[in-house]
Amino acid sequence: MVSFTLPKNSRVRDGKVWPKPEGASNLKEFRIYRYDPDSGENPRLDTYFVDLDDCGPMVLNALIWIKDNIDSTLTFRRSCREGICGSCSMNINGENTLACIRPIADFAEPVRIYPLPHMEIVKDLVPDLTLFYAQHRLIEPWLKTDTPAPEREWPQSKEDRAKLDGLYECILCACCSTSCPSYWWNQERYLGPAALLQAWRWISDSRDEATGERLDQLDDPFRLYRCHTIMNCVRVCPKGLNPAKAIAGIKRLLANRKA
Amino acid sequence: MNSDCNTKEPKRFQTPLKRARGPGSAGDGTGHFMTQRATAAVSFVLLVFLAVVFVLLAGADYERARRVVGEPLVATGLVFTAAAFTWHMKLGMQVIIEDYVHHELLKYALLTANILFCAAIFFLALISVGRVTFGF
Repeated sequence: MVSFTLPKNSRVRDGKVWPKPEGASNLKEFRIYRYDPDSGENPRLDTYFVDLDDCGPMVLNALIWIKDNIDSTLTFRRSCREGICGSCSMNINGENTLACIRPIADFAEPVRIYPLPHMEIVKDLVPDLTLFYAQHRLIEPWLKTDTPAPEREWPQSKEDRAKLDGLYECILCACCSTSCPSYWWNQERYLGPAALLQAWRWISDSRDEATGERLDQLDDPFRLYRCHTIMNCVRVCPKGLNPAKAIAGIKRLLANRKA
Repeated sequence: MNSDCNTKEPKRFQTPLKRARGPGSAGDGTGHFMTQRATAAVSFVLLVFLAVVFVLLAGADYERARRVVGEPLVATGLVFTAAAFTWHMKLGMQVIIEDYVHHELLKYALLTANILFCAAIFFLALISVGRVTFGF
């Protein structure tokens, strides 16, 4: 049965209030989820005060500032700091987004930062994304052909290439999948919007010869049809992509194949 | 190690891809989806029909109601309405149960109860229309 309350060991408690930095006048309060599964303790919400005059404009800058100046044990993923790698996806004031491209000024005080929802936590803001990545692997995100490869590249018209726009840009940050209630309740069986967007990307590719095989893999009450068009995926995608439209495309193709 | 850890332990030896692939694709689901959409569209049209019948029956006594409902087109339409509504209801409730109930035995019990309940509603409507129409 779906659990509507958190298990006892997942209930978030008040944490430590770290001292305000001395001499700072332009402060902003951050409350950040802290959890170490190995400690056996419940998660807690620590309070930090960031000196905005000494910190860059983005939420990721604030996290790095906290790690450098207040608490070096704060754990989070980050890499490119420009919305390309998808590492710093997290839940900020209730919205899944990338910390590196969202200005601190966008968020009301206190800024509450949690890891991506409904995922097992490795530590603090780092969720376990291994199943999410495996679901991407399941849809076989590469060109599949039986025809021997041409001597040069596989040709594609400009029009066919344009069909991949809005699909190939996905950076697998998992903001969409982890904002989807269907993915929360049936993560083990529903592939989620990110994997399905990529499935549609390869189904839409004029060079790919495995369309039927790909559709066979998706024709399942859970893998595909757990999508109930809730549209959270579209609302949160930091790259402005539309997984719901991609999923509708797969459903339409499956229906056309059958009727 | 507590019992909770014991139950989770075997999972740790499965690769993520094994978990993602599970038992594979059921090769089914599109039929359910198409039927759900079709019954929704048909129900929308039949809802208008039902509203017209209700307006015709407003303030009518039983004899007039029998004459209206007894019209072959109206009686057929009402049976179709009951069929479309209850079929759609069965499909929708099935999805909700599958979404939220993960205990295997309870899930199958509720799915069966859902079918029986929706079938009962349909046959109740069918018999009611038949009784008003044919007077048995």
